[in-house]
Amino acid sequence: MKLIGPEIKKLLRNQTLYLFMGACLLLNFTVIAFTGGEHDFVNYVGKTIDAAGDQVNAAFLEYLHTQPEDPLRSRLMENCSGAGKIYDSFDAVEMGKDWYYDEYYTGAPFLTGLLMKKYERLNASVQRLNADSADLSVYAADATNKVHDVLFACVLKSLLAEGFLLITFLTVYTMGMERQSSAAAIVYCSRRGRSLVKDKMIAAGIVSACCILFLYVITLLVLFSVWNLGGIWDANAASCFHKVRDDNLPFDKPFLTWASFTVKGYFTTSLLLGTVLLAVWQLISSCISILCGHSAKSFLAAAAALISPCFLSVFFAKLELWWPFYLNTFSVSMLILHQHLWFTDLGAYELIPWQEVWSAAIHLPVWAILFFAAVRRFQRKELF
Amino acid sequence: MLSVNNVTKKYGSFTALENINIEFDRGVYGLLAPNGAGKTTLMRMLATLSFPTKGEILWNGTDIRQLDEEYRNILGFLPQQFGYYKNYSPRQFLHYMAALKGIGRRAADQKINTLLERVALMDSADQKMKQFSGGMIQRVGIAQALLNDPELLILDEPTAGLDPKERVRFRSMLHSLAGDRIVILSTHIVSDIETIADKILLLKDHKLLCCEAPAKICAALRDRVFEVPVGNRIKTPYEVLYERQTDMGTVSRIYSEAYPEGAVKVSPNLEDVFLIVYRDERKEK
Repeated sequence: MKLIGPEIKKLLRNQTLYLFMGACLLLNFTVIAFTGGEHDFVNYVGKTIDAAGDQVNAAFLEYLHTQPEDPLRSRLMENCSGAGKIYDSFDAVEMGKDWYYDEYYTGAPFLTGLLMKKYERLNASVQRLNADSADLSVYAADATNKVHDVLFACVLKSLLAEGFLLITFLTVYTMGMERQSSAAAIVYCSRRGRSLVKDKMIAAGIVSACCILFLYVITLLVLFSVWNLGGIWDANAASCFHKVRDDNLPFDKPFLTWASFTVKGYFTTSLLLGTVLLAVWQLISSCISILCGHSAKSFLAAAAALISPCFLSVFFAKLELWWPFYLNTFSVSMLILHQHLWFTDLGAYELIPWQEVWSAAIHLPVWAILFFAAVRRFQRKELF
Repeated sequence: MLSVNNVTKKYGSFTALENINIEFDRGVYGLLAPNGAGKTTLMRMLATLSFPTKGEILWNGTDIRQLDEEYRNILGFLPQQFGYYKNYSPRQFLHYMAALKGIGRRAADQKINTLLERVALMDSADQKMKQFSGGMIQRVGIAQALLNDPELLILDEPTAGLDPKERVRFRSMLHSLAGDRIVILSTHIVSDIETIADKILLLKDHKLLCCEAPAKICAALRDRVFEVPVGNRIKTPYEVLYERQTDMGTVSRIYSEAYPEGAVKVSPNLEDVFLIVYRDERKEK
């Protein structure tokens, strides 16, 4: 434990870290700058929800009528006239039957069975959303998809990806440092010896966590100074205005969450799951670095581990190798890819409810065990 | 006491060391052999960086792998290629090494100051090591090996790459290092150890040839080493070891079983032993 401090100092001496952080902030600010166009309307909707609640009901419409004539008011009133109870008659099983069952997991009866069960359970969730009148939530009216994309598909996803890159860089750097500087012999024959890799992993984790937290805080502060969501935080994420484009469907389907989330709740839960995945990736990149030994090899292996599942998904789907396709959906990369659709029906990419949560829950202990196995192997392995 | 019992080290089909048996007690041991003989292989095994294919290495009767941290706590090691962090000063680097060796901050401060004085680096203690010469780097290496006041000090080719001045400085330092510990020093430079080693270990054909005091090793060549002026005809079979300049001109130092005419008998030294024992390897090269 005493070595964690010195290992942290070694990491903080690396100037590339600060260049990387600077580049990330620049990228994030650029992304935020180019998300423009709907700030005024979103701000207006947020204030209206603060005053009149988030449900499109008589009270809400009455409040709108009392407001000064304004293009933003007109737009919101027009949007609200299109709002309705879509979950009353929504049948998730029919959706699955029509568009998913014949396309995916054909020839894999167990998986097809899981798919069907999933849509049956989704119906139960739809009923809960209906009971909460989630569909009547204003969210951001016809700017809802824009807000969700900015928040989750652009900014949070960028931050998550940056976190993964940062962890990779710091872990590979610290684990490979001794070989790079030819200090491995004197370092690993010291009293602490090869157990030092545990201190290195913790040090890399602490520095990564601090840097990632810094990136998140600064980026989100800037984002929320540009996008003032106000009352939208208390709107329901499964609003009728919130649609998901799925290539398998000729229509946009609703944002069907397994539980009823406010936007704030969905955001917080996404951050929590993102944190767990970052911890998982810390363990994975530590395992890779310890097993590869060499910095360049470790970096390539980590990059391959991160990128290959995305290609494999397409490959397995084309060849209709459904078991590998499905198992691949549990990979960390696929989870990041679908980050903006977490806790919803993910079409063919999810066969059990809350699959992303189960994935993270499985990855964490598995990679923790594999990390300790890698350390044990390293302790018994010759260094030269 | 450090015991190396029937240790063999193989890398695939290549045998680096075969059936090595040595016991080390307090004193300075010089491991003398040409490049590629297995010196570094043995040093690395003693430093727990690699492991024997067969046999065992014991510290006070217990396998060093079993002792683990307890063994490494009494060990000081200077490898052949001493790596360091270029942007660290010696003081910063030694503080890091002290932390690795489990030495507390205050104790480390005192020890580091003492060691920096000892290796004559006090004036450069806070300069970045990327500005240092090879000799200065090596002195930092020795300092880090001594941080934990080791009972077992292993130095692998510590004078490699040093200029004569630095080598003389190192030899002087080594005299003071011996004390109450086991010092194992590997080299292919005879002058590094001939005056300070209590025992010399010779490796040949990946096996231990002998482990004796220098005087005893040299005594084996008594009456067989001669010097003769270059150009003299020598009728008896002989082998030239090397030539040197004297006031009388150039002389050849030769090895011969019989006393050559016109030659002067000289006392054999460790260099002679080295050249004779490893002459086959010289011829191959």
